[in-house]
Amino acid sequence: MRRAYPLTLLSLLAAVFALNATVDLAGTRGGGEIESLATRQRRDDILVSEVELDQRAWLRGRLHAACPDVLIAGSSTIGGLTEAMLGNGSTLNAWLTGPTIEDYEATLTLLGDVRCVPKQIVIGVDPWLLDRTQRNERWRTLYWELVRYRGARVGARELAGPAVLAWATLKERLSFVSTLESARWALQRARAAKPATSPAPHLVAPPVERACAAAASELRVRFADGHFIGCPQFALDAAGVENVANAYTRGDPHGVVACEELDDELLTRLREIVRRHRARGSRVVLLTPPYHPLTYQALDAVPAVHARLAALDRALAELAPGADFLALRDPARAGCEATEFNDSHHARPSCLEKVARVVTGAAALRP
Amino acid sequence: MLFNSLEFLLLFMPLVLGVALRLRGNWLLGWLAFASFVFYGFAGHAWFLIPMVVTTLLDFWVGRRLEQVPRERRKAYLLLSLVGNLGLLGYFKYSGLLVRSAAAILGTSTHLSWLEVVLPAGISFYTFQTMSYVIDIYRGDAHAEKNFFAYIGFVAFFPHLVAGPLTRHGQLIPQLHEIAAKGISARWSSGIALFSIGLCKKVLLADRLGSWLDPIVAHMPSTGLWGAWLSLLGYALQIYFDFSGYSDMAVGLGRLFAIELPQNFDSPYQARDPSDFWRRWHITLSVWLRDYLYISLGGNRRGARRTQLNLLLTMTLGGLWHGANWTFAIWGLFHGAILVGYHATRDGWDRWPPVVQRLVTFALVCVGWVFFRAPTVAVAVSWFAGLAGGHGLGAFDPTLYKLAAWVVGGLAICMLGTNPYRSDVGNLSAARATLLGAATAAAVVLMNYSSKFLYFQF
Repeated sequence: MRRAYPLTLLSLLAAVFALNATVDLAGTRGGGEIESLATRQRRDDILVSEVELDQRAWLRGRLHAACPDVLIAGSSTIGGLTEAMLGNGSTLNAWLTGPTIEDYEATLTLLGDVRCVPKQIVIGVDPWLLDRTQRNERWRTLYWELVRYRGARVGARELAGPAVLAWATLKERLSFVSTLESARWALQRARAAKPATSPAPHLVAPPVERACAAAASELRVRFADGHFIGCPQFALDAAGVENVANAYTRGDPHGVVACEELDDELLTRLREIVRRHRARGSRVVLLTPPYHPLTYQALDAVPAVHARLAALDRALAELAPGADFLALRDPARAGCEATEFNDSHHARPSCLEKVARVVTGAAALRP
Repeated sequence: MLFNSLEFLLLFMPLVLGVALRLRGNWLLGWLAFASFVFYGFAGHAWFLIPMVVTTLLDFWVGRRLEQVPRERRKAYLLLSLVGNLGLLGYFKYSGLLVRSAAAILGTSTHLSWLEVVLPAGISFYTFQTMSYVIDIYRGDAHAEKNFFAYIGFVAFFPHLVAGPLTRHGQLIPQLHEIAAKGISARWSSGIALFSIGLCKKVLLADRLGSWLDPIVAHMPSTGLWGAWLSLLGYALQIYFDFSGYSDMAVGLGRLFAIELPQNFDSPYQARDPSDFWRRWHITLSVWLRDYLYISLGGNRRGARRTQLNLLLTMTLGGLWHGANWTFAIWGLFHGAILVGYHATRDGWDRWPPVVQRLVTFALVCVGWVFFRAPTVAVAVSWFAGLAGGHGLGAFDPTLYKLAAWVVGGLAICMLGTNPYRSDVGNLSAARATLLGAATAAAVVLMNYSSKFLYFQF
């Protein structure tokens, strides 16, 4: 017991840590490089990477490059919205992987840093944004922006900053999701006879199809306006999409079914974010992104989920007087059909165009 | 703060234990009390500390007064304690249920926001502990504790604070005095081994089962025969691994502080009859209910009919202790009924082969879990319909395959596994220690996905 137990435990944890640090799927080590690429990204340049990018670093870089007329803050569920779809001036789709309230708070600081006041801010509110159990630590790239958002002066919080960041990194390096994805990545690379390390993200010229054709695994593609696409060879077929849409409530990947109540504190913080954007002079649109029709029906059929999502919608509608609230979780509200989804909760461009029309229509109604 | 979190394992616990190992006397007891309050403050909301402090101060004071006042005034102090404790418990836990039920009966709609309060974690546990302390002093079975720090340790010692084991003052306070006098002589091997076993039960078994069966229960009206049965067996295992895992962790942590907390589970699914089940399941609650409720009601001293009534009443109230929902009362009543039924047919039952006794007991317990898990009586009825095939067979999708595999493995562990309390967990063979180390590593990596302990809500 005295030797075998700690040796096994510590060596396995060290191996997990080393795997995740080596693969660095979240791209947290390459933040500086991503920020530099984002600053240099011209209108036609496409940022591509075979591993996850540090999307927060990219956002910081893009906001330093230019101030958009329309800023979209959300997750990948609205990450496909493009400038052309909205047609409302220059647009920056600032979607993030696994966004949390901290990201939205820090974005306000980023905007303040570059004295940028977009005319319109579209905030995507997925059901899991206000679920404390679904939180992750990716916001840490914007740690200092978050500190300044909270108004802390030089003090304990700043002094603790490096420790907080180190702790968040340690947790991510020991997390199951990171390990699973890292192992998958390493296996994929081994099968393709490529080294199991992250190739550096880089900018390419259009067309994007050329970069897609050369990809051995799912490619992360981010255009200068921030929207992303998936390479077609990795997309699910119709049956696959239907399976995934049907399995959503059982698999409950975002904890929407298991979630018991709205988190009042997170809701209060979202309210404050909306208030501050409006105080700076931006028009705010809150948007609940559409689900695949089958997924939406399945969620709506669970009484507890139905009640909770209705409560969320009521809370969002009351969140800030004067903010637009577009409840599009039901895909029929935007006119989206089952064939217009990539999976249970990611809409295809044709559906997102309809969503964009609702957004621009709502904006047109405002003085 | 949860036991199954990196914050607890890598920050809180090493700091608290590291400092505690260097202290003696009231400094040590004070440090443990402070650490316990910090732990509890992070268990939910900081205001959770308020009802706990009220209960702690009230019963410490009442305990002292009971030994100072004349005999005729003692009952008034006892009543004050009972009203205070049960009042807090009633307000936080049951007022909403009572008002909703009354409104439903009267056909009115009632919305009283002041009754919609979050239940402070562990309130049912520490309230019962302090009540037993006062009742024992009143009965003359115990003396009031004079050292306030030792008393706080008895109420708030963080390993058992939130979800037990329900610990009696006679079990804990002498041990606290002993470590205060001699310092902590940690039982490293058995403490770490037991904690690791509990962590693995919770993260690798209970949480996996829960993640698959929760969506099935949410869709019970459309769940077929396979889903209904697998989710029933899955929940029987989930609640066992979750709660016994927490208890193992609590006892293991206690050993690191040289405190032996009482055993709470004794292979309950190997029980041979309903009575035996309650000697093995949540043992500390069963003993509390027996000593302070069943016996107070007259126990088995007033004839067969009254004994049966006492059993039904005790188990129903025990059921309601778990939560403010009539499904818990039905669960308790159901267990009371099968206990009554068992005692009435005991001679016949005892002639059955042991394997049949175990299977029948397990089946009855599983039936009860339907009421325990179902959020409403309607869902429970729907679950029973699914179990009877009323919703058809249903598709055997990939989730059910995973659930089935975990159910088979879990049943094997429950029915055939060695109880860690009956073996020398501090002296594992190299092979077993390696296996436990590997399983613990997997549990640590999976902890990010881990949920709160089910019994935190009670």
